[in-house]
Amino acid sequence: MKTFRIAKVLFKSMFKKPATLMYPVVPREWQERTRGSIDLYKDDCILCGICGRRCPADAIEVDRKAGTWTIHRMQCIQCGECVAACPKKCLGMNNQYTEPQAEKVVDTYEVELKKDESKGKTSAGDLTCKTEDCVYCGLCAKVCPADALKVDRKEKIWEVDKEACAKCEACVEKCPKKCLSMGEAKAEEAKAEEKPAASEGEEKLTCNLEDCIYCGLCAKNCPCDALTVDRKEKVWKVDEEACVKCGACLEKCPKECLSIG
Amino acid sequence: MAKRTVIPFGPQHPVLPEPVHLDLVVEDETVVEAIPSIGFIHRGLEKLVEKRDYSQMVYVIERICGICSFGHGWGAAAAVEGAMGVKVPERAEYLRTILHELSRLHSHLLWLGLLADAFGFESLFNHCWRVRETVLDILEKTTGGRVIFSICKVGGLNKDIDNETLKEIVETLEGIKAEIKELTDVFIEDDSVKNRMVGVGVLSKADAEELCAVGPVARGSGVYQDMRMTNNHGVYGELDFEPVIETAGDCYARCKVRIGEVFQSIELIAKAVAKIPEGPVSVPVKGNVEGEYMLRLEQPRGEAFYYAKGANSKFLQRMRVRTPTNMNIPALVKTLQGCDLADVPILILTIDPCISCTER
Repeated sequence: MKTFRIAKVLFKSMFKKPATLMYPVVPREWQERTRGSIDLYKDDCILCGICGRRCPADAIEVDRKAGTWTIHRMQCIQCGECVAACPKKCLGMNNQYTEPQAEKVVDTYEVELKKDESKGKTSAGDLTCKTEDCVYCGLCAKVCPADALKVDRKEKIWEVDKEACAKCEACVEKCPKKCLSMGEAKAEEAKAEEKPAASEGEEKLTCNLEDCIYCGLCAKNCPCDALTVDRKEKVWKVDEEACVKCGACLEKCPKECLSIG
Repeated sequence: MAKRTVIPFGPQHPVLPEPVHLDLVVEDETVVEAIPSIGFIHRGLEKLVEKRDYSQMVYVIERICGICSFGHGWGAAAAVEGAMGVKVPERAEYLRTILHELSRLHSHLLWLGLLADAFGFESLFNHCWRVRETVLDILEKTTGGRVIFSICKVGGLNKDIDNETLKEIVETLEGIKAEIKELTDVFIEDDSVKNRMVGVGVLSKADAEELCAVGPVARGSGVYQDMRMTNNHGVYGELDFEPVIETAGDCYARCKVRIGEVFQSIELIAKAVAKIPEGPVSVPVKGNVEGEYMLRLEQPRGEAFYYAKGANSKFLQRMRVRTPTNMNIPALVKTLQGCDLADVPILILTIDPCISCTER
């Protein structure tokens, strides 16, 4: 017969401090990583709206025209997706929770865009493309979160919808030819930087030579002449420094033997 | 023949943390039939795949349930990774295994407390949850959340956990091992506890196999089955994993399996920390999901099944989760037949029901 086996635990706990805290008199100490609430550092915010689009709970609303950034505190699930997605790193995870409330809390921040400072100059704050360097690869349009860019490789057209452009500079970072710039000052900066040879180190254009018929359509359509194809010698070569991984060759390949990745 | 009466049990009942309803047909004090019905907490999370892309979906699937949340997040991420052919770095796999075992630890300690509560042993219940708090503190320190972690993403993990913290975790767990042992001894040895569990709700091995029971319920009946053996998720293959098996098939055996798994989890975490390699914890994932993938993963409550199907778009076409409680309800109904009315709460608890998982 074994009864009252818990006696030892109970006896010991009689001489110990309580395991619970007298909350709220003794405040809870949060860990450094505690996901409490979302902070906006509004000086850096450019109202691009990527956070709102990434939010799985639709808790963030960004209104560019009204210049407001709104978060529905009770809808937010503190997953941190917006913090990770923000291109300007102006969102942060605070380890303090918001105050308990009986009603749904909506916090609205008014964000002043910096374009006002440069109103005098015509297009100082706008996105521009140096068309002489552009290969019309379309990578900028692909990466644009606001769908503000239009690129047509055949017609050699590069257009930006200035109303829609959120100035997040995602395209500037992505551009393989570094021909995009946000305002004049930055254009020079970008030039000085030169192109970081393999910004997308892992991506590579490859050809499955078993299927390849060496037709040369890929080389013909390459906007930066990075491909060499010789049908007689059965040679398919890519100049990795010139290749911008735009995917123009993939679209034209009749045997679908090309891939980027 | 005694008169038959139908007693409704649930959806609101002191023993149930979540709503499930049972119509118990009783003769005198004996249950002759139990008719379960669910549907009180359906949220339609699987349908959300049409509106949330695959990386957002991980956070949604994770919120199916509070207690199994890490496993759900991992299952959803791994299913998408499988469909896209993404290889997760080894360090991330180790960390996922460690976090999954930590969540199993807190889930089982929670369950032990609930079980003590079910047979009215309030002080044991409180002490189990006191110990569980240590595990929750570790989880908060490493992931930022006590029960919802939001650390898993497609391609790996959001945050790294440095080696020093990992060593601290192992030390803390070794420290509470003695405390857990003191409490689990009460479950295993105390007569007042044994009187409520030994020989109650016996599920034979044949029944467990036929009714497709999973997890500790199946292992308590002697079924040699644990998804961690298959080594299709995590690094259990490198940790010499062996499932905990009991053969009696009663509530006591199911309780012993879970107690065994509590100590096994602590061991697995220590082994994983000793072997963890250096390296990145995530790989960038781009592009659309094409094709389909299925994955079976061992949750604290048993085998869970994840299915993802993509149609060359950022949005999955279908995301299906089949949860362990779903599979254990037939076994529960079987064990309820012929039991005492007073034993019904304990029987329901020993399958460790998670209704939020079941209905999603």
